[in-house]
This record gives sequence, structure tokens and C-alpha cells, in this order.
Amino acid sequence: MARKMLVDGEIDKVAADEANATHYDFDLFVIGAGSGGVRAARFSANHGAKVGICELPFHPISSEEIGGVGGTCVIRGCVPKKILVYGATYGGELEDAKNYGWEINEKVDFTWKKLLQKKTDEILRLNNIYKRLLANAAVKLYEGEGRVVGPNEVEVRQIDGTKISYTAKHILIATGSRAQKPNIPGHELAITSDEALSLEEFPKRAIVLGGGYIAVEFASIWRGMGATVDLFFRKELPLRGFDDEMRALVARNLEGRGVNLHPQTSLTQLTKTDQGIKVISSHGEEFVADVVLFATGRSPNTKRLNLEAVGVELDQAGAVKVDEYSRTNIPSIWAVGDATNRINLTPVALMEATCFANTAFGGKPTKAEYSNVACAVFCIPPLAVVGLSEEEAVEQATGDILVFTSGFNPMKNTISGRQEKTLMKLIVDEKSDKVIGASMCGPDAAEIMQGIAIALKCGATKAQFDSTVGIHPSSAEEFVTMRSVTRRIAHKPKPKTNL
Amino acid sequence: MTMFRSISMVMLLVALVTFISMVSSAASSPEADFVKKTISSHKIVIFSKSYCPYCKKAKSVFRELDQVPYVVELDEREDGWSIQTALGEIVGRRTVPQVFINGKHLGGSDDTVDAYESGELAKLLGVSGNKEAEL
Repeated sequence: MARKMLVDGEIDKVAADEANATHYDFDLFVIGAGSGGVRAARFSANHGAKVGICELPFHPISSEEIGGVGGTCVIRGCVPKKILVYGATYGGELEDAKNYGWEINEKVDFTWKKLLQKKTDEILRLNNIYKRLLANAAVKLYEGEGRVVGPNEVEVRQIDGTKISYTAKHILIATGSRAQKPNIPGHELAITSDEALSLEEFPKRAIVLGGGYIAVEFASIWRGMGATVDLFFRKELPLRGFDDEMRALVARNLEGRGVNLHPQTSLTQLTKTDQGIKVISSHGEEFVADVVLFATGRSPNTKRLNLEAVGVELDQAGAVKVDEYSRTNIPSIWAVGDATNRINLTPVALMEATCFANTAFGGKPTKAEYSNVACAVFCIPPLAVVGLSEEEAVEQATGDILVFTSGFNPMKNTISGRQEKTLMKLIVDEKSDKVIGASMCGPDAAEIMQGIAIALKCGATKAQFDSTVGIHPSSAEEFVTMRSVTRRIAHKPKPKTNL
Repeated sequence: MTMFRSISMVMLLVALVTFISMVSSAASSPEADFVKKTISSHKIVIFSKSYCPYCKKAKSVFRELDQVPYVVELDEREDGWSIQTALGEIVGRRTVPQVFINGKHLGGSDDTVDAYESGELAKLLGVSGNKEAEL
């Protein structure tokens, strides 16, 4: 085959590859069939690639040898968590219903096992849908543990222990992340979010360690279902990294709904007793619970992939180092999703996977774009944000920042009598009038914020927000009626140094 | 019919006695007594937590009015949880801060700020709400 020449006289690498074509079993082999892996496999196949994918056997609780098609999000993450959040929300709704004329005369009981069964049925249904999506895209699915044995070779250890090797022009690591437990004496008595979503018995007394979104969500879930909940976290407020004003409101709402908050407190020891699990806090206090949840972080699933032996660079946390196109230092090996520890959210993994497929097989090199990624914390009521927090805006500012806030008791609460404020906030760059951050804590925050995220992605100005007619009566309309500035933050230029 | 009425009366009495005993038991715990004693002994009382931003906001309102409230920092007391529970039963809210003026419940942080901005708080305290007016 004649080699094509480029204008500058260099050999066209693609043509050269074709000329010296090596035969591979697959154009792409994906390790991990979670959100990112399945998306990458399907979209690459749609571009005409021959694709193989491997995933560990299914079980709701993961381990190094257990997983399931659908990955964390579908099996032991966002989806089952949201189902439990819905379940927990009904408790408050029933209370609120009384002032709306609903007479609930009989004792209302909550049956954990019934909800658990419904949740399991749903994740099994989704697991099958994901398998069908792969089959419909002509992606070959292998059940077993994959590891990289060369720049173009993957070995899959099947359930019966036999190992089969496959060659591929490209290998994609999409193995996600797993919950970790801090090394506290007695840590084996604690559970992670995996087990929390599949508990046999409902915990009447729960202790949660952690200040992140998973900790806050489970505290809300269990409290909403009637448990006594104690939440321990290291900082003064939960949800480090979110807007401070929103963090304060989330803390207040948790407390208002009956969660016992223990700020600036960690746990030093867990022991098994007849009464339950005894916990000692860093302040020397003793607590007893049926369940202790450690929600202190997750780490990338890369330990058993043999990546370093092949020369793939990992960071200190074990995350796969990649460039803007999700490519590792080995040109044939790529990685997306939590395994790369960039922004660990399902929709981000989906975006990275789409960009990968376009780059590797679509003839359209595409970088993942991480600005204005919206996200939500499904505590009760939820928090949702997009763009910069007030603190981030001040940190990154090149000019003055305008902060607009609206705090109010939602219309529904005025009748139900619930004392729970909603807070909405816009951060505006004064010079350009662009809205650079939005956040909301209150009912339907996530649903509302998705629309706001589109506006921010389009570079909307505060004037454009103001000229938008609101939907009345709704909480959402507050985002287009914030006329007066709550505070102006003057830009403080960073001191120049000679360093 | 008379029998039905007397049964109803008995049931009503039982319910009333149960309710009164519940209220009195809630109201007669050592923590509830502490809350009541504290709010009756001081002009301004704030039940607070040292780290809480809403509590800081409520305290700053009284600073603006040159008033010194009596502050109970629940997170710095051994019995803080129990006091918070008792407080919740008395005022119907578990959140902090809870502010009392002259023995009467004013409310939380937002209520305090609203009362300050409307001039109601200054009136309750018998002080001038506008510092500039004093100059």
C-alpha cells in the first residue's frame, strides 16, 4: 500500500499503521463496564470499532473480585441511593400532609425490607438493560477480572479461574473507584456505602463518620426513616469544597430534622458489645450504634490492573495519569472516570467516554470540558450547585464580585408549618456581568439547577437572568428576580513577589 | 346515648391526663428546668454553638445594638445534647441559635435579623436601633 505523504513531507502515521497493519482481536478492549466503560464501548462500536469489554461478576456489594455491569452508579451508588432518598422523604411528607387536610389515623409503619427488595429489583433490571445495550451495539462482553499485560494485550481471568488473553489496538481503563475505610482500631466493625445500601436490618441507631456528600446523604436517609443518627466530621461544617453559606444551611437543616452533628470530631475506636457497636470519639465520648458507616473517601480501582508493570504512570493515590484526551503515557492505553480521579461524577465519566470515542475512533479529537459541571447532594432537602462557590470566585477574581442571595420559607412550608428555609445564590463577575456561580439548597434544587447549568454554559449574564420572566408560583423564579446585591466583594490584587 | 357520652368523657379525661403528664415530664427534666431558669434570669439569652455561622450572625446583631447577651454554647457543655432536646420540646425547633428576650422566645437567626431590621428588636430591648441617630 502506497504511503501517503503530508504537505510537510512527514509520513502520515495512520497510513503507515495501515501499511504495517498488525492484526488485533479488537480495535478496543475496555476494562470495566460501569458508566464510562459502557458509554465508551458503545460509542466506539457505533464509530465502527470492534469492541470487547470485561466486568467482574454482579453483586450489590463490591470487592476486588465482585462488580457487575452498570458499575458503582447503577448497582451501589447514585441509583440505589436516590431510591432510598425518595423512600426517606416520605416520612417528612406525611408529617407535612396533616396541615394540608390529610388525616392519617392509623399508625404509619416503615418496612425497610420492602424498600430494599424493590431497590434490588430495580438495580437488577438496570444491570440487564446495560448488558442489552452492549449486545445491541455488538460489543462482546466477558465476565471476569481484566488486567493489562502489554501495551496492546489484556488478560481476563474468568469465573472458573481460566485466563484468556486478547489483543487490542487500544485499551481503555474504566475500573472506577471503591469506598475506603480509615485505619481506626475496630474498623472491621464499620461498613461502607456499599453495605449501607444493602443492610439486612434497618439500623435504629446509626453513626456516620465523614463530612462529604455520601456521609450527609446517608445521615439524611436514615434519619428520614426514623433512625437516631450521629454525624461526625473533621471540619466545622460538612461538605468541604462547597459554598460556605450553603454548607451552613445544610448543617442547620440536618440538625433541624434531628441529626446530631459532631463537628471537629473523629472516631478513635470501635468495639463490639452486647448493646451494639461502641464508638469512642476524639473528645472521649462514648456512643453505641447498630451500624457505623465510614464515608471518608474513595480510591481508584487500579491496584490489580498490573499497570505499573506495563509502564503506565499512576499518581500517589493510585489514579491513572492522563492527558486532556484521557490518554496515558502509553499511547495505546487510555483511561476515563473515577479511575483517573478528575471529577468523580457519573455524567463526567460519560462525557470523558464520549470524548474518548470521538478521539480514538470518530476522527474528531475532543477534549473533555470541566467548566460549569453541575452537581447535587441528595440530602433532605437537597443542595445543588454549578460554577464557582463564593469562596472560589473570590480566590479566582480579577475584579469585583457581586453576590445575590434569596432566602425564604417555601410556599409549601407556610401551610405545613415546617421551619426550613430555602437559600438560592448567584455569583456575578461585575466587570462582564456574567453569572459565574449558582447554588441552591431546598426542595427540587437538583431539578432546578440543571436548567441554570445550561445558562452558565452559554455564558449568561445577570441582565439576561433578570430579563427572563419567572414561572409563578415556584421557587425557581427566585433565580430571575434577585434584583438587589446582597454584598459586593472588592477585588484584592495578590501581592507581587520576586520568587 | 348517655352511656356513650360518659365513655367519651372518660376517654377525653384519660387523653387529657396523658397529655398533661407528657407535657409536665417534658417540661420538668433538669435540662428543661435549666432552660427556663436561664431565660428568666437574663434579659437576652442565646442558645448557641460556638462554630455555627447562624449563631455568629445572631450574636453580631446584639453587638450592633451594644447589648451583651447571655450565651449558652451547647457544644461546649457535657449536657449540651440534652439541653438542645429540651429546648426543641419547648420552642418546637431543634436548630440553633434560639434567642430569648425578657423570657420570651424571639426565634432563630433569621427571626433575630428580621426583628433587628424592622426595629422591633430595639423596641423590645428599649434601646435606640440606629447608632447614627445617637451621634
